[in-house]
Amino acid sequence: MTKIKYSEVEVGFELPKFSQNFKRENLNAYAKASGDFNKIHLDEEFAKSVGLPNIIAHGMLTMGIAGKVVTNWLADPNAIKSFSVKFSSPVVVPDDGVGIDVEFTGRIGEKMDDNKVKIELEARCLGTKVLGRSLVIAQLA
Amino acid sequence: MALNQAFLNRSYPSPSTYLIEREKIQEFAAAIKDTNPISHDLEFAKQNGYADLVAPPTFLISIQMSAMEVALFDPELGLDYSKVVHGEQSFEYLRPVLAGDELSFISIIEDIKSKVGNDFIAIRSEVKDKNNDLVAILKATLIARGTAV
Repeated sequence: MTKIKYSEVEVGFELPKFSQNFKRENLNAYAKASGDFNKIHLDEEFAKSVGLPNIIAHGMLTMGIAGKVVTNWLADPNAIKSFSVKFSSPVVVPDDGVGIDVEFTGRIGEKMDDNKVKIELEARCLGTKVLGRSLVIAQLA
Repeated sequence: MALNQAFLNRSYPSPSTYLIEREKIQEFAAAIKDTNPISHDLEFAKQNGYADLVAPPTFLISIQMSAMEVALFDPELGLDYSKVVHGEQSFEYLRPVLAGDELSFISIIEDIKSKVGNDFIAIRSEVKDKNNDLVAILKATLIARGTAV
């Protein structure tokens, strides 16, 4: 159970933000962990052959990391009651050893009944939103 | 070529149950850089009132996609998987997923459509435990880019 109290947060409250670097090796590890071996995430030549600028990250990798904005704050994954996103723009991952940074932020958009809050998440890569309509309903104490 | 509308409303029960293993939860959490000890450290999870390791919120996606492969790779559907990207995803949780859970999936193809040259397919999956209690509901929309021509 989270220790964050409903009474202690207001609409507009900003959750602790963080940046996550995406490299090819992270995509390989996610493919193995999730079973999603779609070649657009693993094979540069293939990704380009189907019209993508380069290898793109799994949308679900971005979503999984975005969820941490909430779970890091609440320290309990069970506090998340629902989680939805639209994948609005791909995270393109170059093979340069440097990777690409994605900034993750979240704010409380609405205080709901039963000590629940609606949290609006954002993920930005090079200034572009990569997740749209990204919402979490979380149960606070 | 557009997708085969005959697949609309077809449902796909998972052929067997999926046993959630501790190692898979740990591996998945590591892959999304989730260091929360509740997904890695059994003693910590127990101290926090859980019977076993707790899966990160998006963990079930791997099983949803594997449970749907039989439909998505069916040549009759006409989905060009090489062109597929993820459009939308949602999860609704009735309880957390723990290591040791034996889960079954029933997936239904809720929507099939074409828009501006892209094919869309929406899949809704109900996840139940071995007591037949609902654990989670997942919805996925996949987009095949430029195939609806």
